[in-house]
Amino acid sequence: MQLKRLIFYVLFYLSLATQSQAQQDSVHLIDQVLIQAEVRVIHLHQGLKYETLDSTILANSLNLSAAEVLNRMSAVYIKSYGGGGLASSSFRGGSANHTAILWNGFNLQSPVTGMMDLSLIPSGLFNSMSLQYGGKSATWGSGAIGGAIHLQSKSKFNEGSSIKFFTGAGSFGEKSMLVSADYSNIKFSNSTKFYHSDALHNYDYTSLANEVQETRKLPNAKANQNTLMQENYFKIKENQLLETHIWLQENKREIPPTLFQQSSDAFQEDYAMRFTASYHRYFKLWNLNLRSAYFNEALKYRDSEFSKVAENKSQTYINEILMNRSIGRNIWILGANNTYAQSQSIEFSKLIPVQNKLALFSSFQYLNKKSNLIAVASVRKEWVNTTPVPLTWSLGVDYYITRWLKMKANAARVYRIPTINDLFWKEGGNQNLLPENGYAYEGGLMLMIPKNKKKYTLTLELTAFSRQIENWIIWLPNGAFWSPQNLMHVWSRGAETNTSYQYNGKRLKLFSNFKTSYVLSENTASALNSDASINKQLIYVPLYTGQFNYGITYKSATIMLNHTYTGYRYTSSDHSQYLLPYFLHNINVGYKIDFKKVNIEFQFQINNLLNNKYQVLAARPMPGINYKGGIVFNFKSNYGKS
Amino acid sequence: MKTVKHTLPFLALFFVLIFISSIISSCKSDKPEDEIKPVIDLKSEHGIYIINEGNFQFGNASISYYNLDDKSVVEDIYKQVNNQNLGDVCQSMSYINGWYYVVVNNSQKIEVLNPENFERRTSITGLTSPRYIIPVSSSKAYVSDYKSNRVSIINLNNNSKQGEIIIHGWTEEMYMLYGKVYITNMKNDKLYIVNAANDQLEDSLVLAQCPGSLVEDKNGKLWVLCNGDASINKSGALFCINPLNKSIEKRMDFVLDESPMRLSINDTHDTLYYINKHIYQVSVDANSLPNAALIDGSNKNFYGLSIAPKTGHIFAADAIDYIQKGKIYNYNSKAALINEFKVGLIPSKIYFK
Repeated sequence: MQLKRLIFYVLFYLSLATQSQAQQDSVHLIDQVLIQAEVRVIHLHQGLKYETLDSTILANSLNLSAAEVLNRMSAVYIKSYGGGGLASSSFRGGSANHTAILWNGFNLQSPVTGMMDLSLIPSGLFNSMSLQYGGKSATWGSGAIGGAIHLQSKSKFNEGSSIKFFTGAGSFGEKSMLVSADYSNIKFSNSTKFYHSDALHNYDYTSLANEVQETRKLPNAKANQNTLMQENYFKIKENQLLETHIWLQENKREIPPTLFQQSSDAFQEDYAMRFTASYHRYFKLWNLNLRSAYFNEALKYRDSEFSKVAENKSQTYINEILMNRSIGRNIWILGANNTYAQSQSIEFSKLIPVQNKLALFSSFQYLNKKSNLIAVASVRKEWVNTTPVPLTWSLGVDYYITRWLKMKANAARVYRIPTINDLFWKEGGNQNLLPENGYAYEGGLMLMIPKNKKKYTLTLELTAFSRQIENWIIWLPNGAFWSPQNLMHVWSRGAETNTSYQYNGKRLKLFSNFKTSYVLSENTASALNSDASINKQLIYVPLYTGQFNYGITYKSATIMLNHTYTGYRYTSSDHSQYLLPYFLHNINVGYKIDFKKVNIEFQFQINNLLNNKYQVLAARPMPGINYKGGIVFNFKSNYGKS
Repeated sequence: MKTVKHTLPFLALFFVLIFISSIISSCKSDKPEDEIKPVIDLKSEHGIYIINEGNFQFGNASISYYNLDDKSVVEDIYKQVNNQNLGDVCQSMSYINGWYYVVVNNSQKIEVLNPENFERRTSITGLTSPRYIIPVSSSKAYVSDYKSNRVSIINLNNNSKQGEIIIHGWTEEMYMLYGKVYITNMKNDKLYIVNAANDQLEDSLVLAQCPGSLVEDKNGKLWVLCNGDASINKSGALFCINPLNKSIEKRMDFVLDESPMRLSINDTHDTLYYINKHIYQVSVDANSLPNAALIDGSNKNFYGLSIAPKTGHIFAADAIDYIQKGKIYNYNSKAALINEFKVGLIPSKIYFK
């Protein structure tokens, strides 16, 4: 009983923090918490900024990639090549390697490149997407420096069967389809999703490749994606649960020319097979979770019809044991993780480079008697191929001064170990690289005004952070090759604000969310003479970004608007070259019709409403005004519900 | 409960104020300061052109002009004259039949420019990944290529591609001597010999890995610098070749860790220079490589090298971190630093007027 109450408390606070509607659903959620995957995902956010992306917006983003969704809805800066091209994330001035991408708690960062292409993650596959800002290496290991993106599935029991079918089309030859079939009874829950999209991305752009500027359609930009996700939850007994997840994906895309190239015939293929299994056993005071994952990924790239295919493959085996125990009001988590990764490519100096990471970690979450202070302390010891990484720790506190004013603070040691590319790339790989490491601090205030109980909420959140990273790895020319070196020392600091308002009436629902972020991220060390980059903002880190999302739902109709602002970004380290700021506007409308066994939802988006010309990355044109539309059919049967 | 009622609006106001003030006060301007562009005057007799490669796929290649008389620098002269970017990765420049031919590698083109004012006359397209252009007759030129496995033949009368010679690999610098064109290849250890009269690949010489640059000395001998490739355990070497009988007369080996590049020669064709982290000088009469560097390159990133005619001044380009404006160091013939100045991104080639 005590455990349940505790879980309720934690969830209650969490739900306030994340503005979900947990209050209404809290009873529901208590049931779910026993079966929800990862204890660390649920419990360890204290002191950090954590946000769950609005479910209404997610439901209207079935044909958007995670990159597009994050771009609109979060302070995370997304570096996108445009169209179906590569997109990576930058949290608070960090690099793409500084974002942990966690699928139900398993890290998806490639052992080869240390990053994941967010344009390859269809957002319609997940029940929720949340963002944890700030460093959390003590919990998630190498790479969780700037922040983490959580991709979550949610199990549902005893809900019968339902089928969701989405079909969409858009400008530039875009077609997409999502089929999702769910079935659950008391013991078993199954969800199968298939997503397909293909597009030409042949939008108009002004080519600067020839003497006369000409507006033409972007050539060689086709993209094609197929994804299958299959998830099962099985209650073996009341206190035992087994879950399995499969994620298969193939992605083929052409890589278009830059503004200054006449043409391109570059081509890339990405393949991924991801399998995970997790066994939970719940005892009276403690829970056991055994988890394993196998990821098999391959990338093929061909630069031109004359060049050879560049190829790399990697296999990752993750085995993890997690235990959490309740001690009074407190929770103690203890775990061990072994991640074995190997990779094959002729570009490597070793036939099959191997990276084995073994980690022991523990967290303790403290809740005081008045239930207004939650603190969590974590430590992690990790070995990379038997070489120890310095002990990592973090300490976070959430303190509720009143019911509606929360103070938070976090301090953490963070690190990232070099990738297989960094270490074993034949031309320049450096096996003497040290891990990047440093300290991250943040603090903030959050004001939540719930009035009239559930009708409306106003949330104001202010966060300030500072992070120093030493031995930041940078690829620099070293003779004939580029070679990674532990040369940079980067100090990132800044402030973020988040103001949101929500009104939940019976027929009328309003929401608005305004976010700003200010990030200074500067390199403070150099081994080179006359290096003009010292104490200057890193390239491709905007000082200012902001997002404004708001919408109205009246009865069955929804209209949402999105405005995002991205400030100047420098493309040379001495700031002699830069890209202009851009302000983008998107509009999203939806209409739902409920029938007895099916509801039908019409969705329509206009993106880049003002047809702005802009570049996220130098010389990579982005699409002008474009349209997307789709229809969702939700078929439901209440079989099994009593 | 009463206090709650009072503090609540106060706190809300407080927060709003913090938010607004944080937004306003944190306003460090992110707008970069644009430089004032000087007036272009290419009339001075004593000037040098610096080719700045720019970043791959950024489209920020440029040509800087340095006036040796008043030591002024004009940046990106192409853009200022022609009102458009030069393109993506500028590789080299050659003076042919009274025109400058500027090879823009990743823009897959060669710009033909008027040397008086840098106005664009035309451009040669239809190339894959052009690197260098060399005239082989008054009406014909060859263009080496990074990835097409071909050397393109250009008709200089109408500045268009008229054919190609199949040579596998990454062809780089070329030099013509006695009717034969010597073509380096960065992908293997061969120096190719093409007959300029009939465009036939006649022969090849096996040297060391990555032949990249070549010059002719006062004795009519050809010097070829092979950069080496540490990733396949092959070291570089400097070769002296007798073009008459295609024999290797001298071979001087570097050690595996070294990556020599940019072989240059002075006006009198008796002294060779190259970059091997530092800058080295070696006489054409020497039989071994020098031990001591002429100019120290510690904490620098030497990426280009050229020797001024007449004065023998050494001009070295420092690409620094490759993502900021590079620097040119002007040393006198005794290697004493005379002047330094900033140019565009990744300066790699220096040409004298």
